[in-house]
Amino acid sequence: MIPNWKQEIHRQLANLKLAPSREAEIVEELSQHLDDHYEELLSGGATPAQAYRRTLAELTGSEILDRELRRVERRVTPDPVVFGTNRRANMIADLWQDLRYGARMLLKQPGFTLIVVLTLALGIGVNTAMFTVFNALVLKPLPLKDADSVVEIRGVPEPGKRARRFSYPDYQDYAAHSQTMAGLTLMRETGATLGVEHSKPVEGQSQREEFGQVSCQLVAANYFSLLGAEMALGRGFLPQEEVTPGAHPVAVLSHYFWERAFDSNPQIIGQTIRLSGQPFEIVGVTSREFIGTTPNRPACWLPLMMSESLYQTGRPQKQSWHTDRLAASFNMLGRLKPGVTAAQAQAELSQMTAHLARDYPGEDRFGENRNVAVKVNRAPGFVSLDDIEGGREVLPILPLSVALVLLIACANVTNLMLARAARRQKEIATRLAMGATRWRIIRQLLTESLLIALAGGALGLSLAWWSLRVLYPLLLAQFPVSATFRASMAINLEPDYRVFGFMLLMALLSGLAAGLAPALQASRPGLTAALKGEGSVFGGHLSQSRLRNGLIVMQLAFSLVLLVSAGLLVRNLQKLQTIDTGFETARLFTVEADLGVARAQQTESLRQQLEARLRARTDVESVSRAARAPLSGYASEMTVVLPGQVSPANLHNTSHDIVSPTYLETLGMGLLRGRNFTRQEADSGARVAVISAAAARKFWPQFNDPGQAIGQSIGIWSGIVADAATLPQVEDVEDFAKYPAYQVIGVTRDIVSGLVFQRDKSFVYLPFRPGGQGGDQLLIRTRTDAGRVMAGMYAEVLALNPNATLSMKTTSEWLGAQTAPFRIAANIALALGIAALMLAAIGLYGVVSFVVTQRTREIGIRLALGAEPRGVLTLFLRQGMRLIGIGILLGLLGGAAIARLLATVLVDLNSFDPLTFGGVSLCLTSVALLATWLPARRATKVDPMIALRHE
Amino acid sequence: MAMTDKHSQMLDRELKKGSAELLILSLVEARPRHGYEISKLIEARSRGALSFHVASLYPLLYRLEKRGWIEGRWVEKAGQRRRRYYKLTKEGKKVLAAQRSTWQSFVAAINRITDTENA
Repeated sequence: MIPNWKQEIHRQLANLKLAPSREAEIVEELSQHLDDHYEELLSGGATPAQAYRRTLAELTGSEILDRELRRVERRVTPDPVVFGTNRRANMIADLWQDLRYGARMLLKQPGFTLIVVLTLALGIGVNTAMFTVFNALVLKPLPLKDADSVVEIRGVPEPGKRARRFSYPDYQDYAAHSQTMAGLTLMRETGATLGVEHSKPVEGQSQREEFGQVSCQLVAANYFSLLGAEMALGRGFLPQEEVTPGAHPVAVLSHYFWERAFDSNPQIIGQTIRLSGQPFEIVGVTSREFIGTTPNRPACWLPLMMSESLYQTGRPQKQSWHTDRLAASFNMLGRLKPGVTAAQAQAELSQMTAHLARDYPGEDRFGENRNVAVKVNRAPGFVSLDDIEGGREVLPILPLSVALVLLIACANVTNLMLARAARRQKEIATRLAMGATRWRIIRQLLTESLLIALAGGALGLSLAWWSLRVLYPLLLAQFPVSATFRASMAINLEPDYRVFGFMLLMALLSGLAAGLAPALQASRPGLTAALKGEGSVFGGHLSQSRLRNGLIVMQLAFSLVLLVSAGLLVRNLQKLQTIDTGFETARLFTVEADLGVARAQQTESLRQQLEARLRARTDVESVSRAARAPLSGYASEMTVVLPGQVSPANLHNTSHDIVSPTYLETLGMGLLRGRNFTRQEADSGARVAVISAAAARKFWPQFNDPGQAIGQSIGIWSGIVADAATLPQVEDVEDFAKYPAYQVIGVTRDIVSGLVFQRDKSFVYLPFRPGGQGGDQLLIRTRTDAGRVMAGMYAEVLALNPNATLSMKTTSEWLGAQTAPFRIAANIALALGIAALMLAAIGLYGVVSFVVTQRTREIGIRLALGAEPRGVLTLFLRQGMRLIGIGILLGLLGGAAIARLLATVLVDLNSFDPLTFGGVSLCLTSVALLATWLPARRATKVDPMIALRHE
Repeated sequence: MAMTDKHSQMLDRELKKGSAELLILSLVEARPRHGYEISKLIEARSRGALSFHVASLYPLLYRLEKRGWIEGRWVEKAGQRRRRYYKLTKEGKKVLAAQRSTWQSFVAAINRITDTENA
């Protein structure tokens, strides 16, 4: 019998690590050779033992075979599906292999994959949506030609002072002497009421015409040429149109406004548009691409020199804006000369600023109107973060909130991956046993979590894109403004490379965050136990359950933080919506009719005629006039001095308005003490005043009864008064006799007429003298629905004067406009809070389910030994409660921190409102308990026999 | 006699490891042969002066195959075990021709030297 050589050959080849098929081939060929040799030796007369020894000598005794074959036979690549090799082949092939394997593993469990992808999509989606808005407003350079050389110049104030804009004379100096700038230009935003002839029916409201405010911008003549704006029709402004104030009433229309208001009429050039009663000749229409330099596109642009034609009626206007260096009301933009850096321009312009300060020191009267330096921002976006003055405390809450949602989502996914890794313990142990390194396993697991995160990111991006498309118009609709005005607010929310990059970054970070811990845990070598399936008995590693519990606590705490801020904002909104303004806002609306500044007398007579006509109508209960509409926002302030206390330390700031004698009646405000002023007093310009009870308390805190204020005198330091010329110069500060003094004749109840969240309700009502300052607004209290009377206004005004401009709004709309930001904030916070709550609940549910499954055998043993199902349930609930308790405790701490940030926007609500804190804690506890109870209940249904056979 | 550098290098290399390749290539030139046959032929034709161990023959065969000079194929004949036959490839033929002429010039050179010494 021929000996079997194969084993010996295999042994010789073992070190070479050949591919199995190749090794088999070599073994066969060599063993054949040895067979032949052996037989030949036998037939040559050798004994079998001799033949065997001599044949084997061919093979052994030297390292030749090994050495020679090593040279010839390259190491082989193993079959791609075999994992855990130690080879150092190229990374790309490994990555591709990991990706394929990962994708296969994920597709094998579509349910798991769907949940984790959706969870991450939600987290990444809200973040991407928020970033998209931030990007559109702040990061994206203005959509201008050659935007990279465009710069925005901002005044840097003395420390602690407000950032200043620029005055026209200063701008002229900068423009004339700058060597770094190819050009500088000015812009100021303003508004105007649109002529009745341009009005169209309001969309969806057949009864009402779309009157009203449009946004305009006053610009230097070189604005369009410097920024590279192209015209669809006509021209931009000419240098001669920036010489004489009021001389050239011309306008350039914005493309969207031309489409909306003029149906894209190609014959528009040369026609007239009426703004605030003043006719302007249309000289150009910008191209569709040029949308200006502000997030809301203006309806039209007007030359700087037409400033005074559009001044906001009822407010004091600096008539000398073009010569006064203190009239710093303009935004300055420029274009760098080629090759000049922003830093060079900034250095030069800052030096010029210092010179201006030195050359005009006398102008610096109040110490805050002077820029000490300038900042030059290259390729600016629509909004600079420097612009944000108010809300600095509140604004970070939004990015913080969405980041928390993503963290909750990541914690959720981490827990799910941990559970999955535990289920895959055997697979991983097998790979480790076959020689895979820990790093190789970690890389594979991380690849899987990154795949999930990328899928989540892609879905999140589309989620963000889609929700912005749906939500943005809905959010805008919260503001009661005309459709035309809303159309001007369209910012470009299309995602660009920044949004895509942000999404990718978020996806990679969350993939790492969610995948790293499970990968480290799962690849921890605990081979034998895992291979024998012992890992899943009695809860697995302690550290693993600690991590799991920590993540649950974190999710609960974060969602409580979000719920606290949602709760506070919702409660706040509730309070605002049910706020007692002190007067009835229903059946009340305001009208502003205007014929332009140049025709003040005609305007006054138009308003008087309109007032008379309205008064004659049977469906109108009361008509009065005021400088401003109640609840239309910030009420203008006046500064009051009291006799005997004339010093800068004893000034009282208070809201005020100039009103006709019927004002109190129209609003329905009762008098507490004293009397209202009469028409005779108003007509004759008598210096009498009606003040609110809060004002009486503020001026004379020593009085117990507001009635004691009757007969007192108040001096007006600054504010709108019927006769502005009587206001004293600042130098006269010490002498009360120099101030126009008004005698208090009545005290009214406090009402909310300015900002709804204003705590100071002090208010002074001064009589409106027909023909004098103020009286721009007509207040109309109707007997029936205000809408019907408003629908007739168009005809009323048209009948009186076809050249009038008209804007009107109900008081409820004014109130709605004020509460809109609160409504939006509350809705966003609520949505985020609910999302967080749901994610946390799903996370808790998932983890408890997992633990129940893992401990099935233990539960079975307990039940078999006589434990009550109830006791098992309690066991789980107690463990759940412990986590919930810790989570809520931490969440309350975080909630307190966020409440402190929110305090500035809370109206009449303690930021540590116990109802909110208690309510959301209770809500979270119940949802969390439910999420524990549902899966825990399954544990009690375990059949001991089946459980013991488990696995 | 002055040999060129090129020649001397080539001869040196061929002497060291080329002769074995030349032997195998020549043996499979006429027809395909299997490994044992090749080793027997070398032993027989050299009348026992040259022999190959398994450990050196097969790695050499695999190397030649890898270079594409010979090609091995498993062939099954009725009543026999399957064997791997090696045949000369086209490229192998060119290599064989070149090696032969190198070898012959080497032998001729040796002969000239030894003849001169004996003359």
